[in-house]
Amino acid sequence: MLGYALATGVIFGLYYALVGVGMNLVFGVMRIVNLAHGDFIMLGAFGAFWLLRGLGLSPPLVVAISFAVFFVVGLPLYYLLVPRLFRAREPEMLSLILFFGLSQVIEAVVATLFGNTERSIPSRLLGGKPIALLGQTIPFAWAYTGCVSVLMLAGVYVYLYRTRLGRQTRAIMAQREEAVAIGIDVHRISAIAFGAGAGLAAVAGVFAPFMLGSFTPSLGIPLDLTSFAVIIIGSLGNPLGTVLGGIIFGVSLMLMRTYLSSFADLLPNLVLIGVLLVRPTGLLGRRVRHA
Amino acid sequence: MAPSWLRAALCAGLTAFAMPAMAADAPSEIKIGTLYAGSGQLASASVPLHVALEWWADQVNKDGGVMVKGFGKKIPVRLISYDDQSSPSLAANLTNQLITQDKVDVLLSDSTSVMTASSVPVARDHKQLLFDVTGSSPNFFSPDNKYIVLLGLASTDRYPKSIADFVGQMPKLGIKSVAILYNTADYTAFQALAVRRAVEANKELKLVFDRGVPANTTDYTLLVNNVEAAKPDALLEFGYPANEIAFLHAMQDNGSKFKFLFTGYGLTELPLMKTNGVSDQLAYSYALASSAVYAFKPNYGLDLEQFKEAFEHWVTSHKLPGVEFGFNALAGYQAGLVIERTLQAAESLDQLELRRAVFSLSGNMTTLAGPFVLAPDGSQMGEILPLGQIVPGKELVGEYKLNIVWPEDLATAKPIYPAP
Repeated sequence: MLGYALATGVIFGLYYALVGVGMNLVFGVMRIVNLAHGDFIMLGAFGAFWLLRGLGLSPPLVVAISFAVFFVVGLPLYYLLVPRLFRAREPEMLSLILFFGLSQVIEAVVATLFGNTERSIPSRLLGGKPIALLGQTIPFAWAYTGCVSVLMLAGVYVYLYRTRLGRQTRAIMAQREEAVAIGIDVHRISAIAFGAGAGLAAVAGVFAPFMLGSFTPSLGIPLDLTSFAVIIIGSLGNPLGTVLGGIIFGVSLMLMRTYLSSFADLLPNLVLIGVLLVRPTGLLGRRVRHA
Repeated sequence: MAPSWLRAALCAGLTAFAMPAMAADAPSEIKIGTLYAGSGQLASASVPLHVALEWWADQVNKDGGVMVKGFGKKIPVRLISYDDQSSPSLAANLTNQLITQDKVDVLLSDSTSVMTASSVPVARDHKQLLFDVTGSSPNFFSPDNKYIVLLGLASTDRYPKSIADFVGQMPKLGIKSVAILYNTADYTAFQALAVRRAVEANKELKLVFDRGVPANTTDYTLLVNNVEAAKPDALLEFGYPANEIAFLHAMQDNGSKFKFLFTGYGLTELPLMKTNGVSDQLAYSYALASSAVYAFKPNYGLDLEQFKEAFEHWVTSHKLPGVEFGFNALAGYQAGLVIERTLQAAESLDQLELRRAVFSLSGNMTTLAGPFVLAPDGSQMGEILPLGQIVPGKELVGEYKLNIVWPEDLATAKPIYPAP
């Protein structure tokens, strides 16, 4: 059971990394906390519900549509909200309030339009059969989600480390003022990062019904808390640290579910507190500059 | 002695004097305060209950209001509702607000023991009778608390009586090992406790798996795998609707089958399970035959079919997306019926008088939720549900019907074990 718990913990960890990476990218570039991130995931889940279950589209197409739509929606949303935040005296604190408000609005509108009843998507829509693993089985949907998570996280890596836009993004993450001084269009790069964060959240949302059982319009806040835990364990502001944070979070959760299920929610948060006490910058926090 | 005509005149005069005074004292409306979870983990249980309550209030008001014995006339009811967002701390504040600011005449708790727990101490502190709709935790009831009555289902230590009794029959079916998987919230944990005691008391049965999960658990795949690894002959699972959906999804995803499966909410919220595409996992499973599927013969109010039709019409005509008929809708209507009869029997709106009035119904009223019987501490002793097995047929949602298998005197069929 230990081996199985560790293996499934890694799969869940990769998914939790996907859940958190968008929020961490936005924080890393803009130093703002997008508390509507969990609601973007929830909207992605609703989108998948209609596209997969309603229209019967193929899963890769649904992933592509979700990312593209939320990326495009994220761009004007950035220009509508974020530049105004930067003009405030304390943009980080103000961002908490602003995006919490946006989160509440999104949740309320979705609940009013579609109700609060649990929704779910049959895993068979992803195809495949249960996969044998260490004498037990895992749903095919988990393996599928794990693979998509790896691809998306690899995409973030390639974007940040192998493209010109990514280098500019990292420059802003390292020192915003210096990036402005050398002529980087900070708002353009930030808008792309914001759009990418929303797109990544939407892709995480597509797989939320398969990984989290069912979803309601209230899914957002718990996922914000999960995202916080994951990115703080890894490193706040370092998107790739999210992978480490996600895996630690996922493995902790699965170990607890296996051996002490009543307290399954406890250990990941204890790990979070422990990391904050021992390494307040997160496990991979050395390269992060303070804002 | 005064002549009889003089006595009659005096009586008539006094009556004429008293009647306007009684009418003048009567409030223009009966304020009924309630909480509901419009969002959050418990919304799917709470919203149908609240919708049913709104429907009941509408019906009562169309009929001129509810008859209040103490005022000798019908008085319209006004529902004052606050959304507690599934937050127990917010529920405590809002209960306080209903009592101290809105000064409601009748106080209802939100659905579920999780949310009711917040309202119980507040109501008691303010000496306000809490009409507890479905908060069935035995922790709420004690001989020294006169300010709570349970309306919609038997208290949780009595509720699983049929399945706990049936555990004694399991060895006759060939069941030797049992697994229990439960949500650690009061409602489900107490049911699991009752069953655990029954298993432990039977020397022919062995408990091979016994795990609780946090109330917000929505992924059961690992847990279902772990249960399978324990190889039980019977699995008894107790959860709220969100847990059940996730649990049944996990079974579906893993291709898991159990020879004997009991679920706490699978039958109670069968339409919701159907909507989520997991009802096929319930074939040959067992559940308590909730009043939402088992037709009691009421002596007051609508019967199951009549209410279901009226509720679904209300949901459709008011465009309430995602609100499903099920036990919680029925519990909301049950709360309305009990309030209605209580006010018909109450001499005043004094809270202890309301308590006396609601106790006067005990043993004398059967609604679509079953016989209404209160224990002296206010907990519900009636509404004990038989154990059913969901088998192929056409009487329930989709392609299922229900066989009652326990207790023996109500049984309509023998249990089919192992599940095909």
